[in-house]
Amino acid sequence: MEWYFPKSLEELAELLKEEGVFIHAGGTAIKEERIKSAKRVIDISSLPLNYVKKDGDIWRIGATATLSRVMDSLESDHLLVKALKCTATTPLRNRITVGGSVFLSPLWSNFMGPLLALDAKLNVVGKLNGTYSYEEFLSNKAKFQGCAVTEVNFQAGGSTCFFFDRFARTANDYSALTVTLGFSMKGDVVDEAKIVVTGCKKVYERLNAVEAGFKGKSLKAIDPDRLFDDVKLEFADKPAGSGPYLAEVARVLLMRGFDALASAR
Amino acid sequence: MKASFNINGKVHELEFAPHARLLDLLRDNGFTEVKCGCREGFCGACSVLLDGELVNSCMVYAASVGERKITTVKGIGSIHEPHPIQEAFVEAGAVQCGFCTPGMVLATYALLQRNPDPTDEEIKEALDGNFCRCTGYVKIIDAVKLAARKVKEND
Amino acid sequence: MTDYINIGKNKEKVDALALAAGEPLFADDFALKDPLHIAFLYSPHAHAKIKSIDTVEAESMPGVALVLTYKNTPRVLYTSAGQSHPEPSPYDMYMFDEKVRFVGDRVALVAAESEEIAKEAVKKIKVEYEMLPALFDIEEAEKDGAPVLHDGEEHVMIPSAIYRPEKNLAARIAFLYGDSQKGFEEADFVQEATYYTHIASHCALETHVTKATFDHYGRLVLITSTQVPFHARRIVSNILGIPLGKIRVIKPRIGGGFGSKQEVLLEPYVALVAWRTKRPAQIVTSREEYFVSGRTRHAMRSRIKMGVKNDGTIVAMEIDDLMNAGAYGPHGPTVLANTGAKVLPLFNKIENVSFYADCVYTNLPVGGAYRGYGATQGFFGLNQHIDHITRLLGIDMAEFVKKWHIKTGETSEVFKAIGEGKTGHEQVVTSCKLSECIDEAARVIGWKEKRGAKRKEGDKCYGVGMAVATQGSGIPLIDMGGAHIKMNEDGSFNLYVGATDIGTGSDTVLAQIAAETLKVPSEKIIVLSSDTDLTPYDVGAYASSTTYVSGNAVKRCAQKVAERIMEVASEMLECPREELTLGVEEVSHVKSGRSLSFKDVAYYAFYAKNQFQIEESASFVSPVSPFPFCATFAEVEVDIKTGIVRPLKVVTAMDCGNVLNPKLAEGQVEGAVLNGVSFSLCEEYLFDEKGKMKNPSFWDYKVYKTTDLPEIVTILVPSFEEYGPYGAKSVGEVAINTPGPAIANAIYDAVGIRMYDLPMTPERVLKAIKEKGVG
Repeated sequence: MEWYFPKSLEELAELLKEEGVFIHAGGTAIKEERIKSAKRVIDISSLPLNYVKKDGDIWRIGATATLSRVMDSLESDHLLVKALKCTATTPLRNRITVGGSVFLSPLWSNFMGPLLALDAKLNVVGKLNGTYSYEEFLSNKAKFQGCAVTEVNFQAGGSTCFFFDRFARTANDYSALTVTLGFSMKGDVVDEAKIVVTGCKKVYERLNAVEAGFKGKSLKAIDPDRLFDDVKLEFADKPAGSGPYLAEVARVLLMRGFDALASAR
Repeated sequence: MKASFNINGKVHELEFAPHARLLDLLRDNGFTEVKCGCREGFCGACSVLLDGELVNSCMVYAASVGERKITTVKGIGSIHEPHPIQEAFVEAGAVQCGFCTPGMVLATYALLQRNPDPTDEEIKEALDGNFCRCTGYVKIIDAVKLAARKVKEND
Repeated sequence: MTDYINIGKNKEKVDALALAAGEPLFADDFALKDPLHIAFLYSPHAHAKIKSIDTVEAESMPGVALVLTYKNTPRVLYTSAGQSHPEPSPYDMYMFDEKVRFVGDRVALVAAESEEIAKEAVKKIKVEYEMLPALFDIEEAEKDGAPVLHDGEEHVMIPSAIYRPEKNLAARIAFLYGDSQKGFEEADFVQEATYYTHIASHCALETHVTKATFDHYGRLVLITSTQVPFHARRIVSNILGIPLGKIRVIKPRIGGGFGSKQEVLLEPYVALVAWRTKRPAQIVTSREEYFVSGRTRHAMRSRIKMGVKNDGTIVAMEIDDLMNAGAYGPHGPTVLANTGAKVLPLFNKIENVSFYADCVYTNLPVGGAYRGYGATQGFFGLNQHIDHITRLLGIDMAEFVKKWHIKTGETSEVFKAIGEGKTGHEQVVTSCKLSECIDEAARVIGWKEKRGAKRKEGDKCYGVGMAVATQGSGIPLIDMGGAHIKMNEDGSFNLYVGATDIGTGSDTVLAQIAAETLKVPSEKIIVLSSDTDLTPYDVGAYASSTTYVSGNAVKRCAQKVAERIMEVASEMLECPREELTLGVEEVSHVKSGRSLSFKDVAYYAFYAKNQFQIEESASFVSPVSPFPFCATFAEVEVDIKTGIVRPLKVVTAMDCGNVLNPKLAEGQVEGAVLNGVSFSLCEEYLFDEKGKMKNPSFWDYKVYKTTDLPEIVTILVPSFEEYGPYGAKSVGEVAINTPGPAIANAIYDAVGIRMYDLPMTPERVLKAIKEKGVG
């Protein structure tokens, strides 16, 4: 097994053509066995991907930017910062990279809900080249084998309000579930709603029916009590609680999210 | 494989397995001030600074460290010339078994570099990667506050 | 008594700077030359017979030096409990047996040139198991037809408890006084409930580590993370047949113990590998091994029944405890005894008491010593029960406890009835400021304003609760500590103690005691502790004994040294001993106004006339075990929609006698309190249906960190314990007993639900809330 440290994206693309390669950024989510079994480990830390920048109205985050760096760079009340604050620990956030977190979705990653709600896009090199939506990436992960994520980007600001919360046993614990709500508003009415639950049996649940019900309505006109009654969420039993319990907590957090956003308007 | 590592300001040529963690590289080469408590990135006993940033050395592959500067607790002070943070831990009664202390001291060092005057909440967040079973953290938080005062006085 | 120069001072911990500087002080920091590395093969089954075991392939692997199984290890029964000889724990384990009794039991070990080879070789050992039905439920253990775990030669050395392995009974203790039946008949009402405490891990930051090497005589030297170096030496010698004098055990600095290292867990294995191969050998266990194969807090079911009169008199109490030993019985009988012995005396005015307790084997991880040692289990139920009764009576729990708890000058029938390893001893409480503790802690938490206030904000409800506890200070007439002091030319002193500092600060406190007695600043005392070759004997760090038992030995020893100093001074000054007084680092003759520095005295003794070194030894064993007391008051927030309980503030007031070192004493309380909070709310062993722990890692077994902290307040309420060195009692364990029940009582205050079951996870709390219909 050998380690490679490409200096350019072209060099990376060349290396990705080989079989048995494995990409390393921070390495926190990579088991030793994985390194041992790889023919080549490609460490991407020498690539110029350690950035978080606002490019017009787009936030661009390079794959090797650490979670700490993202927290320091985005607005302190940004949805992603809220999610990152309860992700792993300070020393881990200093090492976990955005690219690794997106590509491997380790236990402690709280990225999924927020990135879906933000409509994030991924820049990818390797067997596939170009920009793909994060949602597409998640729904067809196999297709992206042999690729490397080089950038995550999403719309900055706009008339969108967000809520994020999660359930865990302690402050450092990985999330048993997360809920993310994002409403983009046109004046007083909801233009588009995104509601995502993660930690459930499916990789994530978009609450499409509820989202559709919001469209074109004023938040005040929506009856919060019945809002999530028809939502079916299925969770596996986890150390933090049984499946049915987690489903119940998810519903409570969704309600609270809606209340928080409605009262903030 | 073989590579050179900058540890506490000195360059060392060291041999290691391609899958070796930084923790093992350091301990196997005599840097036993880096402790091993869980090997799963939770307890922080193995904390070191990489270019001044706190990381769990058990979660870092040695091969990936490259030119970056590694600092262990011995890189900031010694029993003969202690750093004010180490003195603060001693004075505040923050050292019980002491197994977490090198990591706690480094976490404090990294915090005070960024934020010389942290609030209680900021201290708790900065130390959230370091587990201690002995103290209930009360005296450790006292120590960080005392250290902040000491470091300021020293400047 | 106030002109102490060392006692009551915040002396810095003697080893603190070295630890903060990362000096190589822990067992794994000692590099052996070319050692063999040991890896264990653990049982994947909860209960099975080994039909065959084939080690050929493992043995033939390059780099493998030795494979050990039941076939080539001594067939000697022992207990891994590090207790005084003869250990009260049952002799129920072999190094390796033909039978495995829990997932994580040891099947074999490999010693090899590297850890990697050893682990690879372990995988090559082929074992054929004959599965046996497993026993997980303590309620099933004694029933006819239940699987029997121990059906061989297992036995007890002393009859401290009834032992019937054929009924899976690891220990039974029962006693009664008065007539509880009659008491219940006289009662106005009877309150009965069952409480459960769970298995938990000590989570010492340093895992178990043992290294073995040889000295220049060819003797075996063990450097090991132990709380009991002297017991470890004796037990290794007994199992392996190596003469005790050929073994040296060194305790370096220890990365926390909390009871987990009062266990001879690794030493016999590493010693045997080294002895057989004549090579250094070592094992550094993983966190997973610590969880699965190490020791745990015994889980317990406690049924409490109290008969109460409307005036608040408890006329009868019945306690029926059923404790889970796990697969083996280390500490089983004594932890079981403590669930009564440390708990019942607190309410000593109850005239009719019956206590009935069983500790049973199951095919689950092995219980052991854990800070609190049975008292934690007992006080969880008792404090909730008292809370409930006082609510039924409509009186304030704080006032009730103050009225009924044991007081200075009082005794309890329980003292006579149960002891730890021997029968009990009559004892009178010689210092108790529990009432003052209650008042102080109540004031700080705002008890009067907050109790029953039913504060609610949205889905969050708030409440306060309290709990009280006691423990002991050493085991009377069993625990012994020794000390040796020698004087140097400059008036400094070497203090040698067997006492085992595992991070608690005992080296520092013992130095303070020696220094106070010798009238020197404690910086003049150089402490060396816990080396079986160099220091006197001590039982080790357990049973809250060190400050009290070892401290008294040090004081006695220092008094003898002070006397020698006076004698030499008397010779030098040519005046009678009685006319001399001991001052700070000097001896003075008031009549003539002459004085001698300690240095003068030492030089004289060493070099002038009738040369000798001023040195003395002393041992101490106590006839009594003075009780520390504490009261904890907790404030919690309960989220009634999710069941999440957030402890907001935990206030603990502590009577540990006269406080020798306030900062170190507070540190003991704070550590115990947070461990108690974490234990009660989130720490939990999860098992699959086959008895395998599902969460043996810190990502899945949660413990509190800085970001989870409630506000922790510690108040020291000094008393003066006449038996204690400079009035001190123990402080290490007692405060772990109260946070659990205080939080449970606070939850009741907030939302009116009773948490009978630990840990109080959000799901359990929400379930109780729903059953009760809160909201």
